[in-house]
Amino acid sequence: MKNILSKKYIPAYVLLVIFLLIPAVTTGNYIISNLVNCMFFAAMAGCWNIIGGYGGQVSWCHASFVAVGAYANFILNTEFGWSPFLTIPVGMVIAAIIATIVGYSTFRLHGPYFSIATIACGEAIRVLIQHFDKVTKGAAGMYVTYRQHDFWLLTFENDIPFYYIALVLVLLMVLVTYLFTKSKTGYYLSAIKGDETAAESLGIETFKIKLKAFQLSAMMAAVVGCFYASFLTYIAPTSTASFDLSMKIGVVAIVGGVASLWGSVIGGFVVVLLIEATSVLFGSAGGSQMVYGILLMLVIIFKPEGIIGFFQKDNTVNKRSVFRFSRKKEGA
Amino acid sequence: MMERLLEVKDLSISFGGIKAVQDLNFHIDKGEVLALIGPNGSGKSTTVNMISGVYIQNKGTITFDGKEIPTKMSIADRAKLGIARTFQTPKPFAHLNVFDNIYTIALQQNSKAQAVELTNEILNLTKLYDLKDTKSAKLSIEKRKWMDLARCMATKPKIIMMDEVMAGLNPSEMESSLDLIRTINKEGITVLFIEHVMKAVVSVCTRAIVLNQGKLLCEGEPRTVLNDPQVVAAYLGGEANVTGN
Amino acid sequence: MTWVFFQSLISGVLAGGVYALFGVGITIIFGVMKMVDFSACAQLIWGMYFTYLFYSWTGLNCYWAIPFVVVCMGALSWVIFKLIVRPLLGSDDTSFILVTLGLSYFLQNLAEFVFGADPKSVPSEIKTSSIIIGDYSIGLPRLIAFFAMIILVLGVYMLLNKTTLGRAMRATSEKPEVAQMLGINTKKTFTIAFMIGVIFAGISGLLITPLYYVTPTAGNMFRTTAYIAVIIGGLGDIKGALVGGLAVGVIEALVTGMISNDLGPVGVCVALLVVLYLRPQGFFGKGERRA
Repeated sequence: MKNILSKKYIPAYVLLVIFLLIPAVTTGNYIISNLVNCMFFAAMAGCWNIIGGYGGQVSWCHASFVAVGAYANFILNTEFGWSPFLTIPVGMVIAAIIATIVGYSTFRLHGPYFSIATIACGEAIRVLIQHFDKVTKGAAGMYVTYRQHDFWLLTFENDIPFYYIALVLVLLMVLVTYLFTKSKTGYYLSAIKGDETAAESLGIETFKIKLKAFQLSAMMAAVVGCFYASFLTYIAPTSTASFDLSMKIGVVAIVGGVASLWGSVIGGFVVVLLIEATSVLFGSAGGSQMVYGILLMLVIIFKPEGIIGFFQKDNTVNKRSVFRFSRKKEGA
Repeated sequence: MMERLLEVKDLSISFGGIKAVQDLNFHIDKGEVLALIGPNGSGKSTTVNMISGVYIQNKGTITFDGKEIPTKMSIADRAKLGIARTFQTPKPFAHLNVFDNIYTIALQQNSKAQAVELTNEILNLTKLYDLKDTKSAKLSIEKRKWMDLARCMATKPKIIMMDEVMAGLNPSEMESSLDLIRTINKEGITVLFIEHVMKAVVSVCTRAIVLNQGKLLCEGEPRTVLNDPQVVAAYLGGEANVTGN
Repeated sequence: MTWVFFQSLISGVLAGGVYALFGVGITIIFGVMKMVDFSACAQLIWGMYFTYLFYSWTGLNCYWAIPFVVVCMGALSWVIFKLIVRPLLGSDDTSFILVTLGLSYFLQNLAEFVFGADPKSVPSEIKTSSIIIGDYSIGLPRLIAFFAMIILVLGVYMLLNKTTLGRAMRATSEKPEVAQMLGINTKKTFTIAFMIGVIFAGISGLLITPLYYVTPTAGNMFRTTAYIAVIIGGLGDIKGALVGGLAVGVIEALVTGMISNDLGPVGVCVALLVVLYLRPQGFFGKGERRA
């Protein structure tokens, strides 16, 4: 942090200035709203990266955490007139509770159990949101109507304020991730990803550390979800809490590059813009969605370290160890 | 008489009807280098796994540093008591460099600054300092084994149980590894040395116990033990031949 | 209330039959390759679409399509194995989970791309027929699916326990390195196990065409329940997939019938978390358990 003015950061500052200026030079909402979308996905993927990338525990229910933040925002806003900002802690607490429940029964195990449990849990949460239609309006979804330009209520006449909000979210996500990786918990998590059996035999409480990381990741996703909902102005269980969204979050993180600070950001822009382009070409159903699947397969088979791997000089990482966690329980 | 660090009483475990370890009794004194030897499948690694908490014994007690270890105590908690171990196949945190491998473990009982200091100390002690920026996935087998030991040192252990550290090493690597083990022992750390390479056993160990089919076969000074007819029979006269040196 | 209970129980067991069949496919792949195939529900959809294609060409009852579906699924699985599974053999299981999820997403959206999102149906005379026993009714297609499941599972059980190929597969499952040393072609056993798994998913798809509309999202309900069934039963164990499938079918039907007709997946999810907490290796699992 000391050499924050050193020369090697110049490209980063230039990029930041460009990003700050983009809204001033673009006309029309289309470009801006696409860029906002990119940044929201980058932020969500960054949250996923904490547990999925740094922890090697692949979660498929991050849409649920996003939905928790989103619904906390809309329910408290429409029912009680709360400002979205005040709803953030509520969403975070609920997300952390869900993460604790899922983690508690699966983090004692190696292997695919966590992934499967998260899929099941994501599905259960979507069904629950749909079921309690008195508060959540069920499958019909919820929306916020625009009354006036109001920062406190996060309603704006165009997407430029969201552009800056999303930019701040992305930078915050990167900062939190950076601080996390430099924290003791971050180091322990990294050791667990390296070799869980060894980590445990050296005194690291693997269960607790994984749980902590999952909670953090879930809480961050709920924060992003809160703002994402205000940006969308309409949320529904089949979109905001769907497996499809969880899948996209994971794909963005993996395609960008797991366990790296900026991988998710790169992934957000590349994947979201690519999908936008293909859906202009092939229509939004089927055709463009196939791209997610194709991208994921290609990256895993040919470039497990993700797009960011093209920018890193240090290619000493064993390709096949990017997602490694010990498969067998090896006592000896 | 010396102070006892670890004492194992009537330790037994069976897997699906097969008695892997049966009524095993032995003890280790503080500062000792005790060899645990025996043919393949004699229950050496199983014993280590029971002491470190990977397996829970069906019967018997393990007493460490004067206190009996409750069977339910987790692997991590046992490590915090000062029981460290290595694995037959080294388990580096492959994506981290050597420094971070050790630093991560050193962080547990120290502040960040202290951990850096401790890590450097251990790197010097284990002669890994020059390799500190190397990705551990790129290390040779010998250095991986050293790094496993270095990581154990970072937990400030009272005992290190070394599971076949000599396996797969050539004679000169073995010599330097033995030096490392002597250095570790000089730091006041007790060593439980599980080994097939008898030359190494004779060279560093003060005492040896021999397991066969999960039972204690005999106990004593390494050279005498290895020439015991029972032991020679257990090994079918093969590997136990130490008179060749 | 007792009527609801027993009717739910009956339909639960029958629905569980399909989960079990589907689950056996997943568990065979896991048993031999130690990897979870997350694309099984997309393969199931393709089983449904192949059945639909067969029907639209010939106009015959869906059960006549079995040989056609087996051949198509066999070919599909072979292509998948060559292109996607082979490059990843020997890598970690997370990569495999990710790649099969990508495949699943691809196959599902490919179906939507090719056939469109609107539901298709495969009409047949038995679609609505059912057997009435006392106050309870049993849908004929479900009953047929249940018995087909029992026959197929027994077949696989015999294959694994009575044939040389089965022994090779079990040996590969226990210790791949040793199996290889003994001259077993592990790559071949992997291929065969994978093909059996995919064909089972396809047959499951075929068997449910009389029950559900053929849509690209028809496999989604299996994405959770069937995998949970396999885990509850114990990954890699055929008895486990059978028992787990039936258990999940019954839990889902009971929750749906007795509590609320849309909370089935929640009941199943709770069951999963409870089982994982109490008995992590599942009912029959050999214990990936940590001490």
